[in-house]
Amino acid sequence: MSDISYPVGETDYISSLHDTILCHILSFLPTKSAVKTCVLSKRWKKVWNQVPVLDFIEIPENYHPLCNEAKISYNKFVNKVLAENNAFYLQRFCYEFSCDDDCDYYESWLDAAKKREYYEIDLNFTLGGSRSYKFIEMIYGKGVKMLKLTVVKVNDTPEYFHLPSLEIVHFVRVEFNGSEYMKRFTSNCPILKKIIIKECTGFDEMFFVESLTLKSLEICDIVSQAWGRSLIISIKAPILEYLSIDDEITYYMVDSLAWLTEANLNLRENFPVMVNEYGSDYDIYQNINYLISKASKVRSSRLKTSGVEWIDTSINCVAEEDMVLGQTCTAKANEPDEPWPAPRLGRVQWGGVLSSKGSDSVV
Amino acid sequence: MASTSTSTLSRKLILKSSDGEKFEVDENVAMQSQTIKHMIEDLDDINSPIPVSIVTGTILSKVIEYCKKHATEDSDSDEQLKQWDKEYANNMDLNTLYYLLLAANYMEIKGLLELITQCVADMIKGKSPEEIRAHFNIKNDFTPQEEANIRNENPWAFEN
Repeated sequence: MSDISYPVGETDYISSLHDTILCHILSFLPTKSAVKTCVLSKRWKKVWNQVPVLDFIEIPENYHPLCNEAKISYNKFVNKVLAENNAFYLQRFCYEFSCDDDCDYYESWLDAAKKREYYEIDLNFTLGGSRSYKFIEMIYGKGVKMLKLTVVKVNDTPEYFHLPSLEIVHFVRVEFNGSEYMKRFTSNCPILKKIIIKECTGFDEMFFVESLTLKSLEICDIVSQAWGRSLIISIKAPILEYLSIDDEITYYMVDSLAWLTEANLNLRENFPVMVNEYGSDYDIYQNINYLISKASKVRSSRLKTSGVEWIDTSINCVAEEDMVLGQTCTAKANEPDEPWPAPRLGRVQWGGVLSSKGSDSVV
Repeated sequence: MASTSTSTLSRKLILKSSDGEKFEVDENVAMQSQTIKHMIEDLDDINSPIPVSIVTGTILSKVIEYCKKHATEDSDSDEQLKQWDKEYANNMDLNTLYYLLLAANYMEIKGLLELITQCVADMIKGKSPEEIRAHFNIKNDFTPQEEANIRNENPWAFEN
């Protein structure tokens, strides 16, 4: 092997790198850290303004809703960055809204933000005033591939919108305006692959997911957030491969899930609401069984229920020809002769079940 | 590392560094470089050495080490591979990282480029401008007045 020695110690290697490589390096950093490099030397003065990432996720630590020095300084910073960064196509835009309604900048920020194309958008409105919701217009960009919205009210939706590039969407504590939005949203995303929806509210009676391309769906606490009203979950996603539900039990309307290979169901009891809505003959097991029976090819499944008394559960294993084991489980005391068609499970974990036989069967 | 005897199965290519060192590698190892992939397409004689003109032997051997690790499929889990990447990058000093970065950029090896740029970004993260200058030997060519002006223009960026 040749042994060439390079000068070490005094050489400033990094500054001789091409701008595109330096921008790539700075794109891993929050915008504040990237901007800070402008003071290193003359070489670095303008490097940051071509970085294709705007990440304002670092909010002022001493932030206070009152007008204070930190807020003025922070607003000035966002202004400057939006005005001076001239990358048109951004890989990532992250913003934690930390300004009040009296902030004078929203209009100009929004204008500046809308001038660009985005690939990934992550907007967190936890600390924002209601005017900051205007920023939601940004999400309807044609190039957006990943979208994450945290704590926002979805009020004014455009008459028509189309998100041709969107693949992954996270809704966290979003307040929707009725049941229709999700339906429209999913039907306007022609290549959507993954939805994560957590602690969202504002659905009327139904939560719809309808997508021909969706592969992964995670639902967490939307039924429990309906505060005593029932919420029906309707899923039409024929090629769904992964389903996770961590929520109170409700009624499910699910089309065939023939491609589902992994399910993670953590279901909690919610008797008072269900009995109130559907009368005392409401049958909780039917809902669970209905959901399970839709997943006919699941290889890995974790089902955990709490507060549900599982009476006379038996899991019978029946070997089937094509090496996948079919299982039949009856989860109802009064219909022991009519086993529910159950998924072909490679592995089943039953947790939190009060009375059950064969509680952890691994096949 | 250079020129091991030819084994049968996969096709072998010979890469030649800027200082004339030759490396025999499996085709699937070399093909992780988009640049080499395009060069092979135009190549009449697969047995003639492929010049990697701006990369020295020392650096090329490290590039090949990375490509070999990432060419063998499913032997390691993603987690193990990440750990390997981390150790690989952490063992490099600054000047090696610099030449590796140039090599990964020139040879268009996306994974290696991401790894090194992330590694350099981690070195910048959390440091004050003074610390960054010291770490990378960057000479401050601003006058004190110029530097003060820049800091005053961006007060938020320089608050801790």
